[in-house]
Amino acid sequence: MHGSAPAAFLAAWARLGGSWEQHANPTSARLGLLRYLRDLQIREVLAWPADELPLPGLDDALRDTGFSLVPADKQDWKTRSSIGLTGADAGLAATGSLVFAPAPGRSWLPALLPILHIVILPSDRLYPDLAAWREAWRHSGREQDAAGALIVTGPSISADIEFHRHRGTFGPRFLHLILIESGGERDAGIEREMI
Amino acid sequence: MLADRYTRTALERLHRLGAKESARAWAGVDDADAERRAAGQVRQQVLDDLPAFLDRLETKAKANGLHVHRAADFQVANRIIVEILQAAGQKRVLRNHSSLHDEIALDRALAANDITLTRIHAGEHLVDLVGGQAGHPVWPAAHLRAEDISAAMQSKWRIPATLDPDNLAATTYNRTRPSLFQSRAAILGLHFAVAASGALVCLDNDGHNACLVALADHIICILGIEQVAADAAGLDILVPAFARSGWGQPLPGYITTVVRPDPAAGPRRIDLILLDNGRSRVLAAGMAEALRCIGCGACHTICPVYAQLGGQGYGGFIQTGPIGAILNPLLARPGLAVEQPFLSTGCDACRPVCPVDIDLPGLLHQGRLRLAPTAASTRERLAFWLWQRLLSHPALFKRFMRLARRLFLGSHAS
Repeated sequence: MHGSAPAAFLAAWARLGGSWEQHANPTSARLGLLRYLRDLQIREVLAWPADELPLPGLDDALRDTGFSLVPADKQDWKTRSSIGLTGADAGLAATGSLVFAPAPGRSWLPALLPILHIVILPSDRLYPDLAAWREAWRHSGREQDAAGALIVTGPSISADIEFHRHRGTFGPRFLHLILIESGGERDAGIEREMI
Repeated sequence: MLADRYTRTALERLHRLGAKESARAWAGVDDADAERRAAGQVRQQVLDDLPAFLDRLETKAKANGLHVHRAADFQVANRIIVEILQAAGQKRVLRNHSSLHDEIALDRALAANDITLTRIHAGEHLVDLVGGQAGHPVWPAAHLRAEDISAAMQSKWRIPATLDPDNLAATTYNRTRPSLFQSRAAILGLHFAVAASGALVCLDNDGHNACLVALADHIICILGIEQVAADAAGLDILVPAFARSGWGQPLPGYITTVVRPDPAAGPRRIDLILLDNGRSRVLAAGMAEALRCIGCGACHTICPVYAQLGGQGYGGFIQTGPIGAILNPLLARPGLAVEQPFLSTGCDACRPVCPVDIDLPGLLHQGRLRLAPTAASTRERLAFWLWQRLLSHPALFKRFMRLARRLFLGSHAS
């Protein structure tokens, strides 16, 4: 967790207007996500591939419950889906920011285009601030290979008309965080019955 | 020329709300003065050895697979952009929010070559819709009222009148957002580039830069040569400084960094244009401090003169506000913009708000001293000479004032 308490991140996240749920383990997080999607009555979600999402067993759980993940292809009209689902490379506790480094399969589009962005963040990816993350990134060696990075702090906002803050312009109007503490695993099939 | 009273009302809002938000953001910093000085040092360190940092950036960017071009002036920059787009067969292109595009008159250059350019940023799009020029580097449409925007939308887009800002904003985005999917090329004016890594950086709050990078196959990036950060540590000082002063936030909503082409999830080709366009002349004139400017617009927002003039009061120059009044005479042809350093009340309000510690009042004073002989006409100089003589002779001054009172107030004078 790099010395940064989830509480600090969640406080900053709340100041930005994001909603969240905190789960003690991946199983609980999967259930939470499935319930959240069910309540939205949405069956298709623009998303990273399931194996890129930091929630093991999600692919099976989604399939079992009738949800499907739509890949983010910039040539495809489906990039305009109303819900995006991604992980994040890091969360910055001081500002409630999310960091996305591009990698094959990890398009920025699900975090940029839909009106609602759901992000899954394991708590061991939290850093105190931008400098701490950059230091860790440099040491990991990933910085040398990365094609870039996107740091998002809050929803997409404009104030171009008489300084009135308008949420959800090019990008998300709503943000929902699923924060997962590290924990054990269990069979994904059980979730179908639980939701 | 003073802005009309409606525009002044809009600018008053900018002055009031923008300055308040910025002050609030800086209030959250333990030692704001030290932070501003650090940001100023980060900028000055690069400016003191700019050619070396530019060479380093160019080498690194080329190693990252970018195509790097140097443009001595705006004409060369436009020629490069047009040639790149024509070679790629691109007839439609998108631009991000950046005053660099206006500085090189990109819209006109592309239109002359039958290339359609769409302003994707709502503020810039609204300025284009209503007419006129962007008046503020961060809030291009700050001088527009909801009434102006609604009237323009009614006449050009045939939509019902509304003064609801949310409705107007949603209408604007509904118009501009589809453009994202209709072009595979984008031109980005950059906020910064990092010499050590070759990283190119854009900041915004609505995410339009990240959308352009994620969706375009080909991006052409323009960097004013002075906007180089030595390394990531320097960038991490400058970006929050920009966000606090420009938007009143600890960090921008979106920090988009591009290092190399990414066929899988980003642009396949990246061109980088390093734009001089008079900046070397400013350095040679010993005014490097003015080039520390990171374009946050804080000095505009706080300036009482700007609140009365708006951006349009700076004679059509792209740089406006106190920093524009310093830079424009240095960047313009000799004899032009010479009156701009005099657009100051001497209140020094801009000094403490500058996030990179530029002594704006001092530089304005220097500009006045340098330009005074050319700025004033013979008649003006004679009038000031007479006024100076009067002020230094109290008896003569009293007699003059009595005479003036009798002349202008007539029999009502006591």
